[in-house]
Amino acid sequence: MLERAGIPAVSICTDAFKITAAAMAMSLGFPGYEYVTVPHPIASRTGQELVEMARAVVPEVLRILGVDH
Amino acid sequence: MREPLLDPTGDSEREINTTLMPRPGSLRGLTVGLLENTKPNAVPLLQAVGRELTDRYGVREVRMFRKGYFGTPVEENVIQQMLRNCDFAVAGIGD
Amino acid sequence: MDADDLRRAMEYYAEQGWTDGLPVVPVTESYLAEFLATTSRDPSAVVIPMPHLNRNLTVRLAALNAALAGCKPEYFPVVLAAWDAFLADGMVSRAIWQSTTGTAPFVVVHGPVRTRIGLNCRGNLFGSGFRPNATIGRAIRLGAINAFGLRPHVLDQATQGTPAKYSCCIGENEEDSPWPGLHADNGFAAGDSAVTATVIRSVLHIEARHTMVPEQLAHDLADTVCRTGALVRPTASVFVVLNPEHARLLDKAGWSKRDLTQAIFERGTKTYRQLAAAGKEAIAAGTGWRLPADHPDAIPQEAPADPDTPVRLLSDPTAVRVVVAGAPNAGVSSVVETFGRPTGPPAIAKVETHSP
Repeated sequence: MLERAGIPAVSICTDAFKITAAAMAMSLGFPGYEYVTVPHPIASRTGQELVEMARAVVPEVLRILGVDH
Repeated sequence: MREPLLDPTGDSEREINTTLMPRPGSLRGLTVGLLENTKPNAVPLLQAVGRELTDRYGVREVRMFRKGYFGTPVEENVIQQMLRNCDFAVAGIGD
Repeated sequence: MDADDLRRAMEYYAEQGWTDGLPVVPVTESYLAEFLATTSRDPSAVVIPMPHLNRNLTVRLAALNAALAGCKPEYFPVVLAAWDAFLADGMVSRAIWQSTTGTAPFVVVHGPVRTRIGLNCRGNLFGSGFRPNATIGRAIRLGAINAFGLRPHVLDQATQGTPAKYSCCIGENEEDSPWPGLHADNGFAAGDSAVTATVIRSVLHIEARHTMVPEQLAHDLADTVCRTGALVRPTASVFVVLNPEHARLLDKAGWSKRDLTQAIFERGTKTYRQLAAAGKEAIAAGTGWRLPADHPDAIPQEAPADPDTPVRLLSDPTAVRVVVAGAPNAGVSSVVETFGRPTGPPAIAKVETHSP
């Protein structure tokens, strides 16, 4: 597991999944207990929409990683 | 008598700690590992995240890894590769 | 002693999210050692594994949460036996405490340990006011919250839960009972200390103050046991907690516990019409749960020619387990609705007696 050896990790989940996302992160063996959410759905988005979602979510990722930005 | 207060969750004793790891402070010069779980659009979204991190936050290198199947834990060899080569990780997408 | 320091320590636990909403007792290594000294079991031994959550409840964590709950060290063997019984009962390991059904841990203590630790078996049985009852039940709940991480709204998805989740630990009133205890019915010596445990949905109140006829009491109990609201599984499963007055009434009429459970089983029916009125006359393919006959998941079945045909809502008399407890001062008993092991012997574990 990544946490055991010590690299910080963040999970991205859709907001439809929010309540059990932490459970999912743990049970999937990916230790990013902290997670950021993106709006559901994902599968049907265009490339440009995904770029915008990435821009919107990265500051949250940085907050979790404790990075000043 | 002064003694530390004990944590009743067992997290402080477990190898897997749910408290956050020491934070990097700055991402400049670091390598990020992106872990995609084969869900539709996971790769393009993570690639876009990777580009943001390199363009705006000084991340030096982006490496993409894949989880074999979204429903099961990530494989040990993938973890090892990420640990050896990356300073932090972003995984997606739970949906 | 600085009371501010003590309060600061209690606040620390609250801020970490390590409580059930009430203040907890701060725990240090030397204090924990007092609890671990009451058992010969290894602190790192796993009491209940929960592999799907990647968590184990160890003896050490069980002790930590017992101390946190306000238990005295001498209660810890009872807490451990309760956890052993929960493992045997089976539903905790099957993630029932993550379910929307919102069950509470239910613990019944038998044998000499009750007197030794001052566990209440009499008046105000289910209510607050006695440290062993309050803290032993709480030790289980805090263990679930902390050791397994089953926090409400996160991994505990209970829709409404039940007040019993604060604490629900009672002692069997063997002294006022005409019959041997539940543990003695299930292979333990009367002089053994043991704990029965299961997961419960409700504690329902039965007022039967004037009945002198056993069949009437059985009818009253059966009506509550088989209420349509309790049914999601096709059949019901309960503990009947008889106060000693009701138990003596039955005994005087020549009834044993088995006679009572048989009488409840026979009366444990609702008509097809009554089930249909609540949309519970059919069974779902897959889950096996009750639902309306016109639901797409319903297993097709012929409605009976006579809609007032009774439908059995108890699999067999062992779906009703009888415990005698409470004060012998009025005709008030309880039905405890369980979602644990549905029939057959209840899960009972021995309380360890250990001299360090």
